[in-house]
Amino acid sequence: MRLLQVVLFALSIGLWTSCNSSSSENASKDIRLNQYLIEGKKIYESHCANCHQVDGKGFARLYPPIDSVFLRDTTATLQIILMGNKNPLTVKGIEYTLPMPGHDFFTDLELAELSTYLYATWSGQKAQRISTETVKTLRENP
Amino acid sequence: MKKQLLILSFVMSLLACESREAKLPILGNRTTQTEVVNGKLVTDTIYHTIPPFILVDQDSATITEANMNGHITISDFFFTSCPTICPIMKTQMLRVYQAFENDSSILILSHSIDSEHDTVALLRDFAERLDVSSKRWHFLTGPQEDIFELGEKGYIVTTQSDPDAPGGYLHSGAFILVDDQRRIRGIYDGTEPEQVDQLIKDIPRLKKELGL
Repeated sequence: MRLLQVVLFALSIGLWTSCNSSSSENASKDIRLNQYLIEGKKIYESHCANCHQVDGKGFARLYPPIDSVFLRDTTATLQIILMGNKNPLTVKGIEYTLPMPGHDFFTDLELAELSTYLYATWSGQKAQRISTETVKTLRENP
Repeated sequence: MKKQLLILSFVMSLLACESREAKLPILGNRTTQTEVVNGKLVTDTIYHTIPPFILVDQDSATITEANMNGHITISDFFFTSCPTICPIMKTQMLRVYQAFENDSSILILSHSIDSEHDTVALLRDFAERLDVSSKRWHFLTGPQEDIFELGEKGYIVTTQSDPDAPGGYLHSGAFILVDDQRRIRGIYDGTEPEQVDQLIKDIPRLKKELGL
């Protein structure tokens, strides 16, 4: 009898958590976000981490950190990734002068994955997927 | 009893072998030279050495091969606007610098292969931003052809202009370890932290061998 109670209790908890955490729509949303985060991390590590470092903290006073204040301007962020920058840039009170190369060869999907990873990791905001449509609009109307 | 002694001596000889580290190899082509000394023929090995050069560093100081005398030198080739491997090389070279910051027998020579863009002023700014001392780490510039030749023939590494390469130059990511007689004693991949760990371990070995 005792055993039955325990089993029933366990089953009800299981049922409660599974129903609560995900309707199937939420689950697929989570999976897509995770896909973007994983791919975005790969892109970051092969194209950005050389200078900005894997932890995003930058290197000495040569390469700036990925900064949450800079990320607030999504258009500027996207533009600097695509077109690079030749002008001095001040981040957290330090002026950086080395040029940043552009990456206009990124596809909309790559850019969306990278941006999703950047914002999830360094903006201080909750992780959310940045869609290819958003990226496309920003890319076409800078 | 005899058998035990034999085993003991064998074990001790093994231990002796382990504690004696092998010397670092001397790299590059070598030739021999035979001379008559006191009526006898004596053959000497002539090793590859870093050839003479005249370049300037971030303080506009002239740096030549003579600066390498009495020092262990670690050299590399880079350019400040390099978008690919140079930033990694510089993070790794900074580790080498920090490991030997207070060791006056160590010299680091970073040769810029983009003479037109990397002026003395720009190299000075670069070094200041890295917070490194020009006593230990020299950022060198000079006639581009001289630097390419020094890289290719002296250090046996690739250095050349290439419009197809990112940033316009093709160059090796090697850190080259050179002894006080300007002989190459090791070539390490400056983009691989494990190889740079090995370099940091090999420098004290070389110092010991050279009595520096």
